[in-house]
Amino acid sequence: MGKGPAGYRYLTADAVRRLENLSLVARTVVEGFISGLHKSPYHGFSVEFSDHREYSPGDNIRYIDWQAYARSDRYYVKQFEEETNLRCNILLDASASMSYGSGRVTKFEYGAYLAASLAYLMIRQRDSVGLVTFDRDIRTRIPPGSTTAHLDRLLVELENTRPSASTGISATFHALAENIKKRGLIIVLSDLFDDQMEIFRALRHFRHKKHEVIIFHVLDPYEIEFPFERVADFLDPETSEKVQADPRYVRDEYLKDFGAFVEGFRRGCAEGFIEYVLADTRVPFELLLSSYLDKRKRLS
Amino acid sequence: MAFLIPGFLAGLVFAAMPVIIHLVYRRKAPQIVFAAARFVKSAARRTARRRRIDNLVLLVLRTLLLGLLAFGLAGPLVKRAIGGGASGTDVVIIVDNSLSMSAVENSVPRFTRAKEAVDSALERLSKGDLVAVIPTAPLPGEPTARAAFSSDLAAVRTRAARLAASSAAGSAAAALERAAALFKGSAAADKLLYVVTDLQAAAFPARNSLSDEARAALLTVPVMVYDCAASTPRNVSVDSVAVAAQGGVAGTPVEVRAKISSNSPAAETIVVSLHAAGEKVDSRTVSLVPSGSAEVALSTIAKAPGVLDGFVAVETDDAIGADNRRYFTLTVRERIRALVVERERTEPAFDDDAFFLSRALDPFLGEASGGRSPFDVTVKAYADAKDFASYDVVYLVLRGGLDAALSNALSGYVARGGNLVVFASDDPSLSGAQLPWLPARLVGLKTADKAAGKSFTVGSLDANAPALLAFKDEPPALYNTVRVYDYWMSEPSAKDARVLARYDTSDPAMVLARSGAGSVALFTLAPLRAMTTIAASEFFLPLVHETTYYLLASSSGPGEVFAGNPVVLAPPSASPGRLVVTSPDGQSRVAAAEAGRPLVWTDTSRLGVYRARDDGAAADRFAFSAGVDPAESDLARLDPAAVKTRIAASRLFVVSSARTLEEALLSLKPILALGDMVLYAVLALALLECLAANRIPARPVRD
Repeated sequence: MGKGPAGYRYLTADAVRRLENLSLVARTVVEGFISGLHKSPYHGFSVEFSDHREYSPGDNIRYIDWQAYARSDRYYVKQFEEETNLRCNILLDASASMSYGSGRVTKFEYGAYLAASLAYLMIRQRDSVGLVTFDRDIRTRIPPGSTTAHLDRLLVELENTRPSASTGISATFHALAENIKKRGLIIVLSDLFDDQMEIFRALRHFRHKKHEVIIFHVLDPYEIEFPFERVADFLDPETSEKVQADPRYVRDEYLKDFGAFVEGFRRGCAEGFIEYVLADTRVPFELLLSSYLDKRKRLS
Repeated sequence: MAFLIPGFLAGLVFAAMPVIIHLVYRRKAPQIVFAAARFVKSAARRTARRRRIDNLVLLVLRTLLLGLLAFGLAGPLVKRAIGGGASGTDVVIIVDNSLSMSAVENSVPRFTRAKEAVDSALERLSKGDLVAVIPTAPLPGEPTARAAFSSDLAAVRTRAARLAASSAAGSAAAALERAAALFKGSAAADKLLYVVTDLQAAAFPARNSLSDEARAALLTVPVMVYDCAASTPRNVSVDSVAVAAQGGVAGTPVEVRAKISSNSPAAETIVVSLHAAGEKVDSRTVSLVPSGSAEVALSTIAKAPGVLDGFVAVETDDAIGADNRRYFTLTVRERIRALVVERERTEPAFDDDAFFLSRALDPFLGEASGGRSPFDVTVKAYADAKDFASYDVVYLVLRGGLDAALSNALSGYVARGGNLVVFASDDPSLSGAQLPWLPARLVGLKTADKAAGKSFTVGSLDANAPALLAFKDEPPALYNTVRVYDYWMSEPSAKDARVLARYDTSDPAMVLARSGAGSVALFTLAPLRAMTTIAASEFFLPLVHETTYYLLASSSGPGEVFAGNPVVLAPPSASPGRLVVTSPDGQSRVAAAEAGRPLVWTDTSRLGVYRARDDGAAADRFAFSAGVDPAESDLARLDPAAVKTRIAASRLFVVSSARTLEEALLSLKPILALGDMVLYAVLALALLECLAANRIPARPVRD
């Protein structure tokens, strides 16, 4: 038996409580989001009957199995495997750059919180969620599952993962795109500190495989604002390369470059029909999710 | 470059602080793990050049700032300003070039140090400054020119380089008066007076000896007294030479008395020698007490007629060589040609006024004994006495109603160097007689009550006067036993008239004065039995002889002059005429006498004997010598602290080296210091630094 969802680092009781609130508050949003996801990619495809379940208020009466009703005098709703289990793969960047955090949480931790939260929310929806952690290679890959035990497994994996090594996003994504056979949702949690063109090429690879892709671009506020004041040796945690710089001189150029970097992803994602969410680690992750889902709702 | 507070220059090391801080902090920059370091790297690469330039500018500014701050606090002074401050300083340099400056101390003449000080002072001058160099003593062959400021520093330096210690005495007072006159006419805001001297006490002006105008002009001028002397070196000198030659008749002994002085703290034994006509003729060894003097008598024989010259020398090695020798001259005659002009011939002969006089001059007159007097006496009556030029001395028994022609003839005779001895007879008409060649005016005949047995007598003699030196050791009985029944009360009228003898009533009995190139001695009585018993006394003969010898000696030329002083020469026999003067270095120059004006010879800067002859004449007519002013031999120094009491200046500094001079000049800070300017520069730099620093973006404003 696992520790239960509320016993994990990235899904604490408090987090779960907040997610419950989130769940209640944004249920319709989430459901809409999920159901939206359910519907669109699978129209026109043959669906395989999977199971019956007892009708519960709110279920679409369209799926009531009237034959079963006739036999048992009870309402059962037909469940089709593809419809009832969204397959979501969460790709969490565990490269060394994700270990950076100017505040209480690192980018990796923030990403892990997001991953845990999303997994929790989706498994509660009885969707399948898988987890891939990667740096320059795939470190671990847990295929999607929808059970509570699976959630436990995901959370344990998240806890055991430590960011290290350099990033190799594009190669990893290309490999994943080839390996994830079934269409589904790809959620990327990364700072995307890699070659932007290569990343887009890899993301297009996902799109080519008919996956929906959402990118949570996890960034630290210091990376966004560069508030340093004194001359310092800036050490790249991935390459261990040091560069001495006077922030007073480099700030403008840095902000210009970094803004272009973020804007490049924002624009590229829009063009590639990829959801792009800037995840500032200052923003509580539930707030981020809430606002994101709210935005989704309004757009849908 | 000099500094008021050089200690602050140590602060220059702080100029290196920005560099050190830069290096230290560069090495000790904190390390920040930053995931987006790749963006920092590219930004840093692009801004590296600007940062380097900015940092370099800041580094230079801050280094300059700190360096200049230390520099400014040290109080820098520009070298050119040391001449007196800013450009446009009027500087007077008084250079003591008197004989004492030739004194050798530690193998170096004082004047060498003086020239270094002058060079140093000139070196400090800059374009726009005006400078005048005033020597205290005349330069050889160079007349004393009127001092004037010059802006031609090169010319002044050239002239200063030619300065040399003179043989003459210097007059610091005169030089100060000239400097004061220059400053009085100067409109410059900054003035500076250098006095380069050996602080010889005798040469420095006495307290308050300067004129009120000079004192007022110098009061506001900073004065730098540069002391060139290090000590008071040993010096022995021949201070004076007196020649006693009994008229300078050939074949007679010549006694030369010399005064030898020493400033040595130890007793000295010195050999003193007499040199005459190119030969060493006598010598004595004289002992001198510490810092004392002694007189020594040396003698020779005047062998032949003509000009005899020589010198007295001390044989010693001391600070000043020039004063170890003192020259003398003597005109040697075959005999003394004397003319006695008698008032009237009377009988018996001993009532004749010329009788006793003639006998006094030549006791062997008319005798065939073979005895020979130095005097060759001629007696003439007033009417016959016309041509006086052929006589060395004329004796005149004065009577009233003197013929104008005779009076003029006598006047001319005296003016050209003749010697006249006048005896005032008891002729009442003499009262109030206006005779310009007489040294005193006869105002009235004073008569004793002879019937009552009353008489006057000669009460006193000025035995210190050169004319009567022979009587110095004689008892008063020699002259105060002389009875005088009548004498002329008189009032000395000549400028240099000197009363050599007085009656017991204090009225002058004998008055002596120079007149032109000659001399006149006036006795206010005549050797007449009715007037006095003097002719019969043993006082009369030596009195007449000594007086005559003195007159002859003084009219045979100027005798001795102190080097550098002008001298009045006896004009040529023919007037107007030319006189050829041969100086000690053998150079002859012609001096033209203008009618009615004294013939003044100014170039006496060379020590030795000057010979004069009438142009065209074969023989020298007379000679004179130039000697050292004994005051210059006295090397006693003024206490430097006492200099301020001699020169009234509000800012007076006594310095003795380039360093102390520098310090003294530095103390004139208000005009010399650059510190304020530098500190303003520091402020400007600080402003620039702020501007430069503000070009760098400040910390971002957070939301």
